[in-house]
Amino acid sequence: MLHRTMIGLTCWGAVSTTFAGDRPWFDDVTRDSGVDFVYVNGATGVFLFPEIMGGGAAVLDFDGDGRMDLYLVQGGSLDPQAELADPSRRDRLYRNITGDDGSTVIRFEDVTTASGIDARGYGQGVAVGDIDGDGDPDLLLLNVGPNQLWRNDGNGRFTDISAEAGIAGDAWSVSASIADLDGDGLPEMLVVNYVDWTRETHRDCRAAGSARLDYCSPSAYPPRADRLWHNQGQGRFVDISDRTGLAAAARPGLGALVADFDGNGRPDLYIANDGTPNQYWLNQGGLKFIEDAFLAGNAVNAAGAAEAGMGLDAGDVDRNGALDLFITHLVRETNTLYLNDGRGWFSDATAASGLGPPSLARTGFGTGMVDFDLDGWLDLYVANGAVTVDAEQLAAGSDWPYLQTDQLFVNRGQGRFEDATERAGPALAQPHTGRGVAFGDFDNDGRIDLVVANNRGPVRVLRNRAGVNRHWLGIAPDAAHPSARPPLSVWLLDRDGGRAWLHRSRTDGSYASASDPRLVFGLGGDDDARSVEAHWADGRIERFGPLAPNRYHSLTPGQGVAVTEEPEA
Amino acid sequence: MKSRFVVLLLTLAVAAHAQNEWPRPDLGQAAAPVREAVEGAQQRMRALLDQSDDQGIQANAWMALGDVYLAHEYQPEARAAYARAVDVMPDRSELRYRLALIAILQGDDDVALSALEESLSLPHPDVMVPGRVRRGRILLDRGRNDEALADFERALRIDPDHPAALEGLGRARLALGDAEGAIEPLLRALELEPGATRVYTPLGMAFRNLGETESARRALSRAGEGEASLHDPVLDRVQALSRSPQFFLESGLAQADQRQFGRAAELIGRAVSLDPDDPALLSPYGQVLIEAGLDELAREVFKRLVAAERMSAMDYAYLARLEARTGNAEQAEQAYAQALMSDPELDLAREGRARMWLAQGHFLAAAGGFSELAESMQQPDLRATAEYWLGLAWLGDGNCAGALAALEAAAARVDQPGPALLEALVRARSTCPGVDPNLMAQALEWGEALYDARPGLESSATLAMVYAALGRHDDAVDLQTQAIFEALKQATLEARPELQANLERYRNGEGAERAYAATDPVWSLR
Repeated sequence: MLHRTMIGLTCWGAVSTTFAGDRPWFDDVTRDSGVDFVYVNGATGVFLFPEIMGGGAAVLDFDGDGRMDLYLVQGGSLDPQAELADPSRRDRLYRNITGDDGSTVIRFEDVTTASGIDARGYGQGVAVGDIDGDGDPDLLLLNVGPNQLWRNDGNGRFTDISAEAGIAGDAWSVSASIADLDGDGLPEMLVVNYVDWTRETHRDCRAAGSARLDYCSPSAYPPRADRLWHNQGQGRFVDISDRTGLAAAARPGLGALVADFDGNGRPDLYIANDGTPNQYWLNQGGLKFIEDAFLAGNAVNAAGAAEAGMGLDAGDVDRNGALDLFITHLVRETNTLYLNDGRGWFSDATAASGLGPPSLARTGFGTGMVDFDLDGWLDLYVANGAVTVDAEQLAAGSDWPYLQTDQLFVNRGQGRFEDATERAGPALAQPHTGRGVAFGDFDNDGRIDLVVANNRGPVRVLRNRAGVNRHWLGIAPDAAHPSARPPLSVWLLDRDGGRAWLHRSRTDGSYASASDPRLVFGLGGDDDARSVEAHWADGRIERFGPLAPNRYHSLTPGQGVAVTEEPEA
Repeated sequence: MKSRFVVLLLTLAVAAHAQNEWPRPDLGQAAAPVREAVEGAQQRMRALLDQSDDQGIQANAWMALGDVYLAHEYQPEARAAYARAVDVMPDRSELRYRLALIAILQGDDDVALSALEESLSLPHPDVMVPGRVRRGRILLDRGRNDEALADFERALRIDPDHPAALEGLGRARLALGDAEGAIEPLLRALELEPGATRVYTPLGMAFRNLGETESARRALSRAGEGEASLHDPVLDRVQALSRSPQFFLESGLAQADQRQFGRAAELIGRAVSLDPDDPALLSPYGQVLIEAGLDELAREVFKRLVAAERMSAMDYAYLARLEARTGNAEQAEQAYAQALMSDPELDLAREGRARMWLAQGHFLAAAGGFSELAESMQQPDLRATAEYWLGLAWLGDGNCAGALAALEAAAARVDQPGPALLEALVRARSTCPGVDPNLMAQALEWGEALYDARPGLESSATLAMVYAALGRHDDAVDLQTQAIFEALKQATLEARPELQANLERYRNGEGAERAYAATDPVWSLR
C-alpha cells in the first residue's frame, strides 16, 4: 500500500492567481491534457438499444500520489464479430502527471497497459470503492453482460477478481455504488441494472407516431432487478438482493447513490429509474431495508408523474443541514430537485428553483452538485445528450443527430438556481451526446474540475477557472481507514462551533461515473481557519480544526476531538 | 429597361416559388398507411389552394395539412403549416393553440406560454378550458402559483367538472402551502375520473403535509400513471387523423396500464387493422382482448401468432388463461407448460396454472403452486395475494391448519387486508376447530364490517357463518335467509345449494361445515 502524503499538498495556482475581467468558468483542456479518447458505440443503423446509453468515467487516485487519475469506459460493438476484429478498443487508465514538468497544465499519461487492466466488455459505466480495505481504490466495471471487478494491487497494477468475487452476472448494468451498509468496515456493492435486452431479443422501435426507426424506450423490454452484494471479505461477495427485497422490485435503473438522508447514521440507497418511480431504500440496520419513496416524496414528481431518471446527485443545496436530491430526465420532462426537510422527507421544489424550464428541451444525464465558484453554495452541472433523433439535426443531414449542449446552473441560495451556461464559456457551447460526468480536482487548486464522457464522441477534460480570489477548505478523508471511506457526512462549523454546512464525501452519483471523494467547502471571501465535524462510518463523530484554508487536510478517525452527541435518529 | 424587366420577372418568379414552397416531411421510412395519409393530405391541400384565394379556405387548408403532419409526429412540418395558416388569418385562436401544442410537445414552454396567451386572447370555445389548464400547468412548473391558481379557477367556472382543472387547482393550492384546501378538488377529480391515479400523489403529499401519515400512505398506495383528462377537442381531432400503427399501439398500451382494457383493445385493434401482418402488434392485441373478455377474437389473434411462430412465454400464459376460462383444461395445461418452459419464473403462468387447478378442485396441486409462488415473492402485497390463494387451496383440501396459517400470514403482511382476504379469514376461523376466542371476536368484528360496507349475498353468508360459530344461531338464520333472498333476486339460488344446506344447519343449532362449498363462485376463474 502506498503511503499517502495528502497533508501539505502543493496547491497550484490557489488563491494568488488573478484574472482580468469576467473570464469563462471552464476551459476545455482536453487537447493539452494528453487524454485522447472517443467512446465508440458501434452504431450501424440497426439501433441496438445499449448503443445510445454509454459511457462513463471515474476520477480516482489509484496510485496514492495525491493527484486524481482518470479511468475511461469504452463501448465497442455489440456485433460479436466486429469486437473480435478490433482488439485495440478498450477502457483506458490515465495517470495524473500534473506538475511533473513544473507547470500547472493538467496532464495525464496513458498507463493502461502497465496497469494490467484489460476490459473488453461493452462498457457502460464504472464505480470506485475500496472493496478489500487495503486503502487503494478498486474498480467495478459495468457492462452489457458480465461486469468486472478489478482489484487495485497497490503497485500501479490491477487484478481481475470477478470470478472469485462472484459478481459478474449477465445483466445490463449502468451505475453502481460501493459503500459500507452494515458498518463492518467492508463496503457492499449496489449494482443498478437496466432492462432485459440481448442481441437476440432486440426489437425494432420507431419514433413515436411515425415509422422512422430509432432507439427504444425502456418500456420496450422487461426491467432487470438491481443487485446488492454483501462483502464477505477476502474479495468474496454474496448476493443479498432477494433477502433485502431489491430482487423483487425490478425497475429500469440508471442512477444510484448511497447517503444518509434521514440523519440516523445509517446510509440509505436511492435509485433513479427510467420511466418508472424511483426507489428509496431506508436502511433499518442489519442489512434490512424498507422502500418508501412515495411517502418520502421522491418517487415521482409533484404532478405524480414517474420521470425518465438518468443521472443524480445528493447535496445540501439550501444549507438546511440535509441532503437534497437532483435527478436529470428526458426531453419534455424537467430535471427535478427534491429538497429534504431534514427528516428524510422530500418535496419537489423544481418549480421554485428555476431549474425546470431550461431543462425541458434537453435530455440530462451525468450531473453533479459542486460549488464551482467557491461562494458557499452548491451549483449544478448537467451533461446533456439526446436518446431519440433530433428531427432538425436529421433534416440538416447530420449522421449522428443526438447532439445537445451541457448546462451550468449557479445556486443563488435557498435552492434557487440561475442558468449560467453562457458564463461557463465556449467549453459548453459545443454540442455532444453527453453521458457520464466525473468531478475531481485534477490540479489540487480547490476548484473542482470535471471530465465529460460523450457517447460517440470525445471525452472532454474541463478545468475550473471560477471562484477567483475566493477561499476554500479541502477535506480528504484518510482512505486507509475503513471508517473514513465514502459515503461520509462532513460538516463545516461556524465560529461558534455550530454546524454551518453539510457536505457529502462520495464517489457515486452522476451517471455511470465515479468522482473524487474529497470535499471542498467554498468559503467565499472568508480566509479564516475553520473547523469541521466528521461523521465516521462506525458512528463516531469527531471535530477537527481549526484548519487553514486553501489546502486539503487529511482527516483520520481517532485523531479528532470526539463529540459525544449522538446523531439524530 | 430590359434589365429592369428581367429583374422584375425574376422577383415575381422567386415570390411565386416561395409561395409554392411548403413543408414536406421525409416519408422514406414511413409505414405505408402513414405515407398514404400524408400524401393524401398534401394532395387535398394543393387542390384547395389551387381552387380558391379565399383566406378562410386557405387557412383551413394549411391547418388541415398541419393536423395530419402533427397526427404523425412530423412536428417541424406541422409547425410550418400552422405558421402559414396564421400568416393568412392571424386572429384565429385555434391556429395559435395548435402552435402552442407543438411547443409543448417539443418542450419549449416559453413559446408555448406565448402562443397560449395569444390563443386565449381570441376566444374560441374549443380552446378556453384546455388552454387555461395547459397554461396553468406551465405556470405551476415555473413556480408562478398564484397565476396558475387563477387559470384553473377560471377553467372551472366554465366547466366545474373538468378533471384536469380540478387536479391543477389542488396542486396549485398545495404549492401555495394550502394543503387542506388542496384535498377537496383532488378528491373530486378522482371521483370524476377514478383512473386518474396520478392525482393520488399530490393528494398523498397534502395529507402528509398535514401530518396525516396513514391517510397519506393510503392515497399513495393507489398512485399510478393515469392522467386526468384534459378534454381537449383540438387534440382529439388531430389524433383521430392518425394512421400510424405505432400511435394506436402506444395509446392502447397507455389505456391498458390504466386497466381500461376495452378501450385498449379498440385502439390496438386499430393498429392491427393498419398493419395486419405485424406480429409485434398481435401480441399486445391478444393480451388486451383476453383482459377485456373478448375471448373469441383473442383466440383468432393467438392462432395467427402461433402460425407465425412468434408466441412468447407471456403469450402462452395469456392463451392458457383463455383456454382455462373457456373450459379447455387440456389446452390450458399445454399452454401453461409452454409458457413455463420458456420462462420458468413467469409469475403470470405460475399463478394462472395454480388458479386453474384450484378451479378444477385439484386443491393439493394448487396449494403446491401457490406455496412456491408465495415463497418467491418479496414484495409484501404480492406475497400476501399468493398466501390468500394458498389459504383457499388449503380450505378446499380440508387442511384447516394450513389454511389458517396462510391466511393469517397474508393478513399480517399488509397494512389493510382487502375484503376478499378478510372474508376468507372470517370464514376459515368460523369453520376450523380450536380457534382462539379473541380471534373469533375479531372475526365477528370483520364480518360485521364487511356486511356494513357492502350488504349482499356474500357478506350476509359470511356474517351468518361467524354468528353460527359463536352460537348465535337465530342471528345466523336471519342473515342466511337474507343471503338466500339475495340469491333469489340474482337468480343464482339453484347454483348455490350450500346456502340452503347451511340454513338447515343453523336451524339445527350447528355451524357451517365448510368455509366455501364446491359450488361457491370463489373458485371460479372469472
